[in-house]
Amino acid sequence: MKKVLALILALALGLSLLAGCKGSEGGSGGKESGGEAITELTLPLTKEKKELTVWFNYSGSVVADLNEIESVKKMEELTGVHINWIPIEQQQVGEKLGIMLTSGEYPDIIYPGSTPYPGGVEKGVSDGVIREDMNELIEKYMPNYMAYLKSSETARKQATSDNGKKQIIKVLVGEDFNIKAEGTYQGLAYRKDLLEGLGLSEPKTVAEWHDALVKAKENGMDTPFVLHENGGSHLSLSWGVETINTNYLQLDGNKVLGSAVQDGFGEYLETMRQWYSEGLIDPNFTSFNYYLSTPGSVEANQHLLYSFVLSAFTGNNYAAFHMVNNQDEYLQPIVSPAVKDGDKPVQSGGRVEAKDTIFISSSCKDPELAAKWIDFNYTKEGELLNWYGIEGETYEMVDGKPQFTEKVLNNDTPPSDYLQKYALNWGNSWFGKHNTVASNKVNTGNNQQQDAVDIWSAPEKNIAVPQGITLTEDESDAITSKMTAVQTLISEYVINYIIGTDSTSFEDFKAKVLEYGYQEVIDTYQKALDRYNAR
Amino acid sequence: MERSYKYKTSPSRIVFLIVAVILLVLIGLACLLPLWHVIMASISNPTDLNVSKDLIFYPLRNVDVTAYKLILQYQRLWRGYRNTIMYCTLSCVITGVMTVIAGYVFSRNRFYYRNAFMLIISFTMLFNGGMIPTYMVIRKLHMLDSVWAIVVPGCLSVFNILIMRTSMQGISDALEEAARLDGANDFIIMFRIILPLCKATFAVVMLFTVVGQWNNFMSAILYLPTKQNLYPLQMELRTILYQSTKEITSASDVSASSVYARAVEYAAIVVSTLPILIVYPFVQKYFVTGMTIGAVKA
Amino acid sequence: MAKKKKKELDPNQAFAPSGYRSGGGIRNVPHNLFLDIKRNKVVYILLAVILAYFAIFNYAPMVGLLMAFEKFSPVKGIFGSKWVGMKNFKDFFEGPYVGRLIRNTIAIGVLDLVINFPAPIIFALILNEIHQKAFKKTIQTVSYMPYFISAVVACGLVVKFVEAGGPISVMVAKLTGTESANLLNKKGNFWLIYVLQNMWQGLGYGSIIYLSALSSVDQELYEAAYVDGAGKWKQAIHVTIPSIMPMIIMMLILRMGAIFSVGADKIILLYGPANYEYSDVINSYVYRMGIQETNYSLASAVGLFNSIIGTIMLLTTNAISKRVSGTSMF
Repeated sequence: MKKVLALILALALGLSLLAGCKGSEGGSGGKESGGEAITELTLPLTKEKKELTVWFNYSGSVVADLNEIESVKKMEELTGVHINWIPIEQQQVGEKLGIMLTSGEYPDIIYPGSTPYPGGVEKGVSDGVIREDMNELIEKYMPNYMAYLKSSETARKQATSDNGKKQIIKVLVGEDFNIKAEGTYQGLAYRKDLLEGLGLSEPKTVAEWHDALVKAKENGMDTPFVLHENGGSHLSLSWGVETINTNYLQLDGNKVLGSAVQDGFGEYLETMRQWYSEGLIDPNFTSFNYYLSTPGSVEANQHLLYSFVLSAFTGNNYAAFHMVNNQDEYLQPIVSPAVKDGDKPVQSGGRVEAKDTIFISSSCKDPELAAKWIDFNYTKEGELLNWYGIEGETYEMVDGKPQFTEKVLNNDTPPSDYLQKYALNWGNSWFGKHNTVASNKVNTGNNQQQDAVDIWSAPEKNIAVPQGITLTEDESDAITSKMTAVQTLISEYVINYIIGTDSTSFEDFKAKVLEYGYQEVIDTYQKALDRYNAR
Repeated sequence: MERSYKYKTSPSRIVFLIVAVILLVLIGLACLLPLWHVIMASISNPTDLNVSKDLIFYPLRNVDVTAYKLILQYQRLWRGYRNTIMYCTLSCVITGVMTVIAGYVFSRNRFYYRNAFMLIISFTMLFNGGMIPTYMVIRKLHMLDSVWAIVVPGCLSVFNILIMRTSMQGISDALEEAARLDGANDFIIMFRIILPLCKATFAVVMLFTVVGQWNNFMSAILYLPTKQNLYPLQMELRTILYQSTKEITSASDVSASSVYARAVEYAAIVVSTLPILIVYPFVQKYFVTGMTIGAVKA
Repeated sequence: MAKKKKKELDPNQAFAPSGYRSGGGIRNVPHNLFLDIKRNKVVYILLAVILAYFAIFNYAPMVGLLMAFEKFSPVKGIFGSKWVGMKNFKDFFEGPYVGRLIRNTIAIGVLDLVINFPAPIIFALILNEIHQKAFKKTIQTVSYMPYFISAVVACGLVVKFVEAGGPISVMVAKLTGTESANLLNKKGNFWLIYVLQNMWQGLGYGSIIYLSALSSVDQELYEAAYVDGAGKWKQAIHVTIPSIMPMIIMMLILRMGAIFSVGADKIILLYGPANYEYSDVINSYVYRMGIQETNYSLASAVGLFNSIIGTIMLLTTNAISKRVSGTSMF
């Protein structure tokens, strides 16, 4: 009896297996890219009306159908291409991308935002999802995109794969109609008003900061210093080590170093442990959520020095609450103070000029048109539509520069919500160009966030590993488990050493972290960096 | 129905009752206070809320209903409510019928192989293929982007079958035999005779189904790849939450919304929970003590 | 949906063997499937519907278990992905933290079972003794509310409350005469905080099932006990508890099956590097491992491992229960 049963079940199972097993041959459908290379786009892009399907990272909530957005309507009018949008919210991109890939049918254009193709771009090509001829398509039919890449060496490198080909299209970072790296948008900042209240001028060394913090504590500030929740701080840059980025990797010229085995790391921890025992550090720093806790903590006047602040450039609380709304509680950005006299300040910020990915899938029937349509988003016209909306309605050109109209800026709805109806990229997507000044214009009308970025980006020495480097599939396979073990060990040691619950000596810790495979992680990244430099 | 017998109330029982009442009141407070906290937090000043470490008994600093404005101005919310109510209703019907049938089948003593089959089914509670293979099956069945993709997978749960079965096993076989002699078929026995005696358990199954469907958003992420107009409430709430909590990923929006992140989170709980809290008292109605099952035995 | 088919009364069915209690089996009656089908036609038709459901929605996707032995690529599918044998398991089990992770997983699982399995039962039994209706219903309704507070908010509250200066931390400090500290940073506290948090959210909701079982206890039994002179205590011990025993045992068996799969979500919301030593469990570690990209294979391997342990626990508990109490699931 059991056998009969087993048989029935096996049959049912087998049948459904067959059903579940699909032909995974992606095949590069559509016609080959045999046309002539173009030097500029001619509008409309196509004589008869054509359609493209775009899988699009979009998190706006104001507009129900993306084709209702004014800039999208206008773009359709100009290009003659109707887009069938499949909007995907940022937080679901990972899951939905994986699922879409299983289906074997791909939309023409896929823009997963900052989520990378699972396993890397090369895998996307060998999987048969990303078109093999992307390089040719880009070079032939995307003149505006190519012009940007030619204008910047960094952008070109970041938009090129290790094999020297452009296998995907990248979102380019810049201001209006140019390319400009984001700069270092996070760093140390202190409360100017409180420091002045103590009768002190800005300390220049770590020792002076210590004295200032002690004085602050004596004058009623319970916890004058906040660490980042992982125990790191941009103050560690004073010792020349990275502690915020939990990869614990840093750069020295063309060499990748492990931050956690540098002597500076041990000295930083020793200092923090000392400060913690003196009660200078907030004992709740492990649950201090920068985004949520900062505004309130500023109002409570309990913190003098913040070890991790983001400029409005990318984050928002900083600008909205301290630099703009409340000039009295001004957070003054500073570079890393010196440990010894004569120490030069250090910064740690990836110079990103090309980031999120866009690609044309193997299912696309008209890759030439798709490439041209994407390219349109890199034109001046396209950028204006995506970021500024409709001329005369949401923006005016003043001295050749776009300025938002009063209607946008002074309105019952927040400007960014208002703009969602007029310009595609305000739904938290950065399609084509990521225009970093548009948001400043909307929100402040002054330049303080940019000033913060300028201050943090000033130091000559930058120890951040470049953002564009990529590991091969085999490499990431080989180090994933080591990396997790290493990161677990380091993050645990950092916090427990600082709060005094772990007294393992730094030498013992170093030996242990190397034993867990730290060196292999470093070496792997070194290889990736070498390939990046050779692009 | 209260029991009508008179008991001597012994001193030890009085002590027990006093202790029990105190304990229950404490538990009640422990459960109620956090909810009160959530409601008050949702209308507090957001800056104060973000640093507050205490239970909030009254709105902090001032009453600020911006969080609710942020949520309620979002028109898709109402569509979400409508969809969720539809899913709950459909699920109740499908799950109800299927679970009663399954409970009936596996509680029949005359069905010799019931335990073997129950084991086969229970196995699925422990082992599952994960989300991608399940998605592939749903896709092959052409259920994607349809209401059925939300209500059919998962309509039969082993757990529900088990409690239904346990409850039905408690009913005497004599009852079934008597009904059969009167000419009743399996379906009449199942729905007219056995089900009414298992109302309490059935009510629990319905409650679990409604609550499960009410909180469900994973099915929507997986099985509604393009049909946003079918999104349930929880999906829309996630969008709102995400909108208000976006952090470094956002170049836009330096508006005040991020400081409301926590307040919106609390308000979302209030908005999404209140309707479902009302369900339980209705279910309790079916927990009627004093039903004398044995009486029919005679 | 299989629809109702009018059926003639079948005398064979009407007088089918009955009166056998579940799990007892019928050892001395020779049986064969054919006869059983003939005798219980409708039951078998209904069974077929149910089995079909499970075959389609649960068994068919189980091919996905193969992912545990592959380097799964969504595009290549389950049958096209590269076979890597035990690599995914090795990746995990050769790591330096495996001992600690298993210890924490078991400790939290067992502690949760020991405390949070009986708690709803006791709660339901106490509630059952209260006859003041309004009070009973109020407590019942109120206790189920915390279940609906999302894990993110509930855990966020706990983290805030146990911070230095938070209400719970201050209370503990007063009771022990120490200074208020961040309780989560004292490593050993984590297990207790986690389990109590679970209790707060799950007590009322977990008791619903027992309350429903209690409500259907046969009143004749109480009458009989009363006639025999049993007081309230004796009734509780000799009538109430035995009546809901099958439900208790079923729930226990199910819980044993899940003892090893301590979910990652709440852990992740509560833990931090400061308490990793006691808070890091298998699922949370795997979550950190897969964070760079969705690592379906690794998750699948760990899931499979948990499932196998769960099955062993479940079957063992079932067998023990069968022997000791005569009640069992299978």
